Amino acid sequence: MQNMLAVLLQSSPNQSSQPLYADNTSIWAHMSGALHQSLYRVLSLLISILPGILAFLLALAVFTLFGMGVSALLRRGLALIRFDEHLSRTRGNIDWAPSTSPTALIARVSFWGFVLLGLIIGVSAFDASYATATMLPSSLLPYLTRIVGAALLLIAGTLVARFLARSVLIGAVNEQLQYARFLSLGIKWLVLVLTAAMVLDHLQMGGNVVALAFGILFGGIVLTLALAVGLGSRDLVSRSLESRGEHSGERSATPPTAGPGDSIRHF
Amino acid sequence: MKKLASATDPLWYKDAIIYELHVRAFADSNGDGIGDFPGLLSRLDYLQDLGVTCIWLLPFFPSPQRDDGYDIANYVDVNPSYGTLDDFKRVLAAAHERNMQVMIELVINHTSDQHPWFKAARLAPAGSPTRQMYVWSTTNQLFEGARIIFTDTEKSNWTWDETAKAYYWHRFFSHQPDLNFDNPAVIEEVLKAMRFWLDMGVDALRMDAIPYLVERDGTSCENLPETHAVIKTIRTAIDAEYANRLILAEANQWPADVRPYFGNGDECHMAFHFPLMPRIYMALRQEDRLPITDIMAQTPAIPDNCQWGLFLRNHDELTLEMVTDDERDYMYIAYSADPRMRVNVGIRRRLAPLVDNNRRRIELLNSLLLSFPGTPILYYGDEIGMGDNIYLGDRNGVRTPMQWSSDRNAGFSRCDPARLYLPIVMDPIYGYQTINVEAQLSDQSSLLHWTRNMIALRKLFRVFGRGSLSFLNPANQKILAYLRDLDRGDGTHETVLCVANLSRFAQPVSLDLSSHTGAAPVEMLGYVPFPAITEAPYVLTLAPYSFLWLELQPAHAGPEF
Amino acid sequence: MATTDPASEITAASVRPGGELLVLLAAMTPEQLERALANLTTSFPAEGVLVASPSALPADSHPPLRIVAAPAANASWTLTAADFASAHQLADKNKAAAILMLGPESGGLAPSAIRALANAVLTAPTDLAVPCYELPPHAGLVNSAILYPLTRALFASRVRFPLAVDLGLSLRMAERLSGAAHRLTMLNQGEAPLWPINEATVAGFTIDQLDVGLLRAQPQPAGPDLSTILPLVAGSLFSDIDAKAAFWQRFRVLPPARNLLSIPEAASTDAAPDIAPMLQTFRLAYSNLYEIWSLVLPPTSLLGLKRLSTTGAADFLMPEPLWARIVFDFLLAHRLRIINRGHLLGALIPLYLAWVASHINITASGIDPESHIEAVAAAFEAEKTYIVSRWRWPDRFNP
Repeated sequence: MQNMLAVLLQSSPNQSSQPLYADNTSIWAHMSGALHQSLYRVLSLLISILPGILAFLLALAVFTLFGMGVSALLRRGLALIRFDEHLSRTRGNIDWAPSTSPTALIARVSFWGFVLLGLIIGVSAFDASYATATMLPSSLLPYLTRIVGAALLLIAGTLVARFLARSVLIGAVNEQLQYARFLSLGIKWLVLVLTAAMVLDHLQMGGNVVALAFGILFGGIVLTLALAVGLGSRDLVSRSLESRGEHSGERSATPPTAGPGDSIRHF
Repeated sequence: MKKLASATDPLWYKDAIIYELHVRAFADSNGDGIGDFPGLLSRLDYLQDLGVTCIWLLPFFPSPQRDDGYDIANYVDVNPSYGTLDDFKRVLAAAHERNMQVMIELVINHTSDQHPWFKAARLAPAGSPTRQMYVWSTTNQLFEGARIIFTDTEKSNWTWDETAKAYYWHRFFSHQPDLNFDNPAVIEEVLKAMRFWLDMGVDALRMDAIPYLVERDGTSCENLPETHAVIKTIRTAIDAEYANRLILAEANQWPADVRPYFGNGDECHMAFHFPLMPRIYMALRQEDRLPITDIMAQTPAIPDNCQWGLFLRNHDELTLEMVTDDERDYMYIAYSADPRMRVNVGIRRRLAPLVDNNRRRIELLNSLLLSFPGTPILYYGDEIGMGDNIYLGDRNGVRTPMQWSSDRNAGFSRCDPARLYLPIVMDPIYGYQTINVEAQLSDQSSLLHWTRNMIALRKLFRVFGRGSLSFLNPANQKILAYLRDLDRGDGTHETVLCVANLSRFAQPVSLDLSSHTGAAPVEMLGYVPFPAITEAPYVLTLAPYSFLWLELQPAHAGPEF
Repeated sequence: MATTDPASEITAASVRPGGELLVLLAAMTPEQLERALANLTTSFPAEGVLVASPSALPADSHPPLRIVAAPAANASWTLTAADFASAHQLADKNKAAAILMLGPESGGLAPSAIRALANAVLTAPTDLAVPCYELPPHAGLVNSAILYPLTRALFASRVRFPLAVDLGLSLRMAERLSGAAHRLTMLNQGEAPLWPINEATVAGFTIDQLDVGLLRAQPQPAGPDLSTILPLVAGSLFSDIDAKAAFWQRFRVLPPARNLLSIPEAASTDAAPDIAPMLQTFRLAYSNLYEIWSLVLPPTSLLGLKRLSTTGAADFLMPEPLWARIVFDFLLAHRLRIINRGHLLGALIPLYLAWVASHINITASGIDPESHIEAVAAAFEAEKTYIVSRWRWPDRFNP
């Protein structure tokens, strides 16, 4: 294009307009120069990243294979020495219910551990090979671990919320609290909201606004729950106060004459 | 000269195997996502292979489709989505060629509010003949005794119409106004519609919602004598002009209340035995034969030319209207723990999900269906154990497309999956990848083959469709044992002993067969000779959920092995 | 077997060789200890008896009893695994022939009763001597509702108080119990109760049940909070039954019923306890815990509970077979870990309270409480087929 313009210039008889054309050439030259430069920059960035990506993939693949091998070996080895039976014999009934045997669990954990390791090594290799430009924020690795941590938090929070909700439901029903279901729902949402807040905070999203919003929400739930407990457990509190009075009286005296309400003894 | 259809035996329905299907759900030929008649035509070979002898088509008339076709806008045409009248005639002819009869619906209790009759009626002046095609009233206090049937959606049987400035009567949805059968013009129109189809060669008509035809104040508006008079009129018209046709009454009533629908053999030929169906499931779950024997004891005798229609499931919910309150509670707890599975007064699940997809239970229930006195009616898809989708509204969960293969759209249609009229079932247990006709045809141990063989076996013996029933009462309550007997008319009897184990554990049973001493039982599926019957109690052991069909052959004619 | 002769007649059975009787006292307050020691002095005036007590006492404070120190123990209303472990340890160390374990309120036992317990284990072949207390009506209800019927139906033992706090043990019984205690201690459950009847039946030892008559004050749990104690006791029994599944799933013959020598009680003049709070808990639980119950109970039981939830207080009666099946279903759910065990047993409490309300209604109508409890136990026996079949084939599709 520059050549065409040059030819045009040379062929132009009008000398007075030359300075204008001279400006144009430089503008065009600048434009194309700028385009060329940016193209060059991006390409060089990509080229510089490419080995990093390859390194990442390679590390991941190698460690996955390694993990598969190790987990298979572990599985076979533990099965040979009858690890499960040994465990159940010494530890007896532990109150947790994995749906798979300890051998399978260990094998699985080791496999995923190696995959994770490969991931970490790959990402840091990617970081290392990726030299200068500041397009991406600071290295990827801590953020990835944050995401993983956040995911784990979320899962744990959900499980805890469900467990607590059920515990509260049963406990409240046994204490004859009328708002038992409400309380249990409240506790569940309390824990879920807390978990969500923790997750977002962990991911460093939203910052103060998120913290404030959750604070308000949290406070609201706690207030409602307090009201519910307070209103619903008036009987409970009065009963417990009465019984405490009775107990302190009983210990000093001989067994009191049984009144009609006392004559049930469960034990 | 009476017009013949395809059946040559006037009592063909006693030996029939009826297959209930919806044209919309069966097969799509033109890729619009809705099943149609040409698609059905292409699948008739499958039905013939299965052993079906009568196809029952759910309503395919022009309709706004607000009640899956039961709200009819034109009695004498075919819904364009399903094809044309010619397509239907082709299907009819093809079915007849394959020795299959065709049954269609005659929904005369109500029409759609889009039917020209209703559109005219609401504009017509009060009292005029056009207006009187339907039941109008200025107040909604009339007929207080009538119960509401669609309890989930309707609050009253009367709905105010702004155009007509009056209330109109509807026993079902508010967009399905009831026809006024006190008006002779209505009866004439109904007969006209009926003749249209019977002239074409349709073999049978199912009268939908027949107890609710006529209303009288101060009654429950069900099963009124006037209703029976209407049915008799229809039956007389049919008998006068046509031969070997069938009317099947859909009367969801206690057996004693269904009996009048047979008249003296001059009303309906067949009627569904509604109360038996939930009791079969109850007996299975409770592992006790009492619910079944109890309801059969309450079932009155019917005229010789009449027949009960038996079914395990149909296009509606598993209705729990005709059970006691306790039984209903039990059925809800036992079979529909998720409230989403309940609609109106019933459970909207298919056969396989109801019994937790247990093959033995499915076979046991089918064995009862095929060996009890009556004509068995199979619901499409139950022969392969199709599942349902409880997340679809109303009763659509049991009306999903037929699963033909594991291809796109389960082989039902070649269209874009988003275009299907309802989504295909695709969960891991009942999804079309696992449950489909193609796979089951190539699997010799499949439910489809089993059903086919059982149907074929049943057809070899007329006693199942035509014989009498008597229960044996062994001490073990978990065993259901009954005798089917048919007098062939030449002095010989065809007798079959059926024994079913309703329990999930093996059971011993000791039967008193002294009245058949000397007979040689032969197991029917494998033609295996069993020990001869003596005066002593006949001891059998049955595996979990198993059943035995033993043909009691005369002693001297027993097989020599 | 019936009461033995209070006088210390040696019966035809042989006396255990060597050693003397070791009496292990539970941790108790000083007043209780004084009463117990005085009682023991009266019971065993002649021969020397070794008394071990966790409270510090000089060795010669109560002749002719010889007092030794026992390992420290926490005050408890029931015998725990730790108690059995220390009993065996002491017996071994002091070469005792038999052991008598006495609870905090043993001062209230008649000396003849203590003597009878001692004699039973001193003479072979009895390995385990269990007292049969005579409690006031409406006492020991958890035992009547759950512990006794389960033990009787599954282990074919008519012992009325499987969790008795006073026991007589032979050496081999103590050894066996100590082994069981050791297993529990390894799981950090040293404070959990043990089930001597179950252990004795599985080992084929002889059990003897003796009437000790008399109303006596039963030790109560420190905080009589049903919500914590019932899950503890029931959970412990369920775990024990689970461990011994191979044993109780065989056909067993129940020993013949004992002749109850106790005088029939005068009809209690106390007004029947108020069942309204219990019913309220049950109804509240029915609406809130129904989902949890539907995971554990089959449709027939749920239907029965539904009917109960709409019954008024006057007609509130829980049929015995329903209660038996509920307990068996919870036992099975405990084994299968359908839901967290703590939650499961917490959900059992309102059902137990419903049974108590029903029991009170029945006794208020004039029926003897003992005969009702015998009826309950008989219902458990009748439903044994139910639990065995459900144990072996836990299918959801059942009546």
